[in-house]
Amino acid sequence: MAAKRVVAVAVALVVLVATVAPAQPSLQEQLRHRLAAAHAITTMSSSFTQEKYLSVFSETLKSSGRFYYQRPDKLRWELLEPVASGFVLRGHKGRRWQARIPGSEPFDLDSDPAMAFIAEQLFAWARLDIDWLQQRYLISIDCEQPLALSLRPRRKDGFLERLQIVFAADNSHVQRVEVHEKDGDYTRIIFSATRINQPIDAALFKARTPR
Amino acid sequence: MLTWLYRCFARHRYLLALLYALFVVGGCWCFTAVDQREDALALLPDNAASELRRQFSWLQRAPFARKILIDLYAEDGVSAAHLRQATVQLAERLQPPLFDNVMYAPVRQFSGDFRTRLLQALPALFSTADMRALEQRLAADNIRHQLGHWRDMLYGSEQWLAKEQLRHDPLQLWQIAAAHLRAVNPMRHADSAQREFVSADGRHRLIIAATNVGVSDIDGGRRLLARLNAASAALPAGITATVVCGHRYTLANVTTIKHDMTLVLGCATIAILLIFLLWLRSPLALLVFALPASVLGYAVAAVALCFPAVSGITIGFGAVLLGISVDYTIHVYLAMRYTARAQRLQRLRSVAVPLGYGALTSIAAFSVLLTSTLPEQRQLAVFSIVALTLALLLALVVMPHWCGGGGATEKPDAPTHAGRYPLLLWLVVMVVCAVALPRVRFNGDMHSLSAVPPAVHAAEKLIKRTWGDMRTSAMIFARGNSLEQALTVNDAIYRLCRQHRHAAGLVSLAALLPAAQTQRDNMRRWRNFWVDHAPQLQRNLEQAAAQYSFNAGAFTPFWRYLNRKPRLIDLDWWRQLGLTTITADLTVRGDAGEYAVITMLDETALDSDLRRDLEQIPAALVVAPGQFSRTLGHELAGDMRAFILRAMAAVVLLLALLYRNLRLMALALLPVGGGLLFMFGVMGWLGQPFNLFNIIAAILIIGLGVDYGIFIVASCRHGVACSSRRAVLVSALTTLAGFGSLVLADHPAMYSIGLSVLLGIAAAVVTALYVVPCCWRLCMADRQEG
Repeated sequence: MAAKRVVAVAVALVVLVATVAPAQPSLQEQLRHRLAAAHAITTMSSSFTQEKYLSVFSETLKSSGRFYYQRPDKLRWELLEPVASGFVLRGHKGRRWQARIPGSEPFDLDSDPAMAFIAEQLFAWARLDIDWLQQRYLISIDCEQPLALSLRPRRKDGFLERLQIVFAADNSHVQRVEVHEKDGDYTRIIFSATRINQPIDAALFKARTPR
Repeated sequence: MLTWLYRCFARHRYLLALLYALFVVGGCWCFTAVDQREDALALLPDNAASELRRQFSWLQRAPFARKILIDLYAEDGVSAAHLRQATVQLAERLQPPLFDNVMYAPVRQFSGDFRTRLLQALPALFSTADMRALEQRLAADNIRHQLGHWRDMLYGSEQWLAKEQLRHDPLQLWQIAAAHLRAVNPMRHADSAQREFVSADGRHRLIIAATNVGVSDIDGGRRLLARLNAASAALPAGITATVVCGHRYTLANVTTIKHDMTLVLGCATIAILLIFLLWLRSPLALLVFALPASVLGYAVAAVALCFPAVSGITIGFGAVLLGISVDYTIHVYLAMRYTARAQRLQRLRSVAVPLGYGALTSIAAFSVLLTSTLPEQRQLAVFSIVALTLALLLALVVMPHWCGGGGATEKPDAPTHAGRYPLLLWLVVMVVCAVALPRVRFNGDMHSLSAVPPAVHAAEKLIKRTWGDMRTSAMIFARGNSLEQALTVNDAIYRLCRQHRHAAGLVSLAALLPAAQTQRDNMRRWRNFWVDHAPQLQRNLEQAAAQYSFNAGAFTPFWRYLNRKPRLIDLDWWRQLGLTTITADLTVRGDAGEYAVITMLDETALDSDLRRDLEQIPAALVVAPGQFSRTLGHELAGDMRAFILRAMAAVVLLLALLYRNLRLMALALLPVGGGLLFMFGVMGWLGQPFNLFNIIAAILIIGLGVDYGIFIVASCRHGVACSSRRAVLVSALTTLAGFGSLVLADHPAMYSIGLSVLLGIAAAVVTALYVVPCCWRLCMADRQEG
């Protein structure tokens, strides 16, 4: 009888504590709340500069280009200087081009694991789909203002160590991305002149455009 | 004996009926008890001197003989991407159990480390040609260009992948090993720059599928083609699929034969009905056809006793040949029906002699097939001997009692009033035919005897034009007791073929999987090469690296690779890389369990020089479909001449024994001579080649023609009743109705039998009925004058 009473009291206490203690929002909810503006993005275009810190080079590889995104799955990633290369992606299919090689070639994410991996990294911070990200990455907040996130892949078999994403002051879009590789190499991409929810010429998602 | 039997059964007709019923039941049991087998080998010579059976056995192992090839063509306006998508979707729709191992690319699935593994294989494959290619890559300008290219790549988004490739293989040496993959690509006209089967113009793609459905499996083939058609029907607009496989040929033949049989049987039935109404007109006359048919089972059983397996072709052909034996019952029926009962025994005796000789000559003619090198023809000989003997016995023992009639008296033989004009006309026709004899040629190509609809022919041409002639390539089998031995022979064959300038369409595993000793030689070459060139490479690489700001240690893995001891590669190495299908296709086991590695080559490249050189390699066996067909044709042509000469000799010998008179012999042989000459002459003028089936038709003409001659000579000699002439006419008409109507068939084999029998028997019967009596009168007048 005494034991029953103890259990009843314990349950009552637990219920009391649970109802009285303030509810801490989960990281998922926090991010959803803070990135509400970013979630409203339907199109985004931006210029970027890219810095590659690779151990095989004795200097930093600096380049610049343009980036276009249209929800849910259209993407154009294009280097303009010092070499012209890039790709467009529509769903699972796309075309890519390289410096010194005329024209472009098609690819399919289903049969091209390398491009599939690249597309996944780009969509990771372009879409900002928190559920999708949490399935694949362990997310932590590095800095509150401006918001900076670290994304570490849950799978350990790839080359990727972590992604670092820094948002604009109003959290409306990504301002800087760093891709850190396991061997210490990393790439920094800084976006500028970002235009959000402005119409994008559909032709930009079709093929290489003459410069 | 005949007299005794006639008298006995005349008294005990019920006993005769009972015995005949037992005979029929026994025949049915024999027919059902014997196993039949469809065996193409039965149509190939099996004498010791002939290599054809062995070659045929190896031909069955041709990599593409049992594959299904599907060409997808995109019309203008359909993009390459859409064509690829349609190809992948169609390939995915072709699922087991009907389809297996469906491919639209040389390698089913590229493994992630494809380049790395090719690089590792390079020392074992390193040929002198590779050495020259590598020397060019080591030039300072090339190295500079390569590193510039890498730097550009590393700016791009694929940098993480490119970085590792650069560190391990900055000069892209894996491409030298990859060039070896071309040696196992049978799609000679394909775009070699593509990873998938894409034509040079980019408008075509190819799917290759394997199947467990045998080419001769008609039901399976139907299901397979129905599934292919359904899958192809789902293709988007503007993309068409063309299918080439053995099953299409089988079904085309089956469909053609079915259609032909409906037409031919319909026509033959109407013709026989007319004959029945005009000359036989009695329900009992049905026995004329039923009696010979009842010997079929015994003939099949006799073949089964003499041969290990009964060929289905023998039974089919034999059943057709039974039509000859109808002649015996017709002769007896017509002779007995118009003879008073009291005189029937005497009439039977008078008919039995020419009938016996007629049967004997037919049997002698077919007996020559016993000397054939083709098992199927030997079986046919046994079948014919037994069937004709039994049919003769039934005609003489059973038929006389079931002829009905008996009231009508025999009409006297109507004199032939024809003058010499028919003879002159006949002579003119024969001379015209004789002129065309040199034009007759023999065609031993068995493919020409199968029905190939225009659509199938066009599909085959399309595949050949777009992808190359891989379905009919010549093959060189390198044989050995172990795979290693076979590979050693294969290396020798490969070297020999490469030495010949015109070795077009060469597909060989030797470029990918040399024998262990060759691999060791290649590795030695590789090591010696780097002893000479490593310092130069280091110098040039450092200079170029400095120009593009590469770090000194950027290429450490590459240097490590060059200093590593190379390893031998084996079949599993390539299988793990995804080259499962082509390696399986090019490595086969022989009948005796021996290993064999296949080299494929355009048959046109297989000239006499190369053949002579290949003969110097004892374990190499050359099998070329075209050459195989020509050799078969040559051997069968020899057989044909021998058969016809032997059949004629046997018939002449029997006639000599019968008549012991040169003039009578010549008269009896006139229908045979006229029939054969007319048949060969018209075929010569029409440009119709003579084939395997015509040989049998020719022997049929000899056997029947001499029967007609014997009966007409007997009729002229002994002045017997006109029933003999009528019997010859009715016999010839039934043969023409049964065999001649085959001329209406679309199937080449059936048509060629129909044509030759129609020509030969028509000429033989005309000669027998009009020319022989004419000549008889001339001879007799000559004798009387003499």
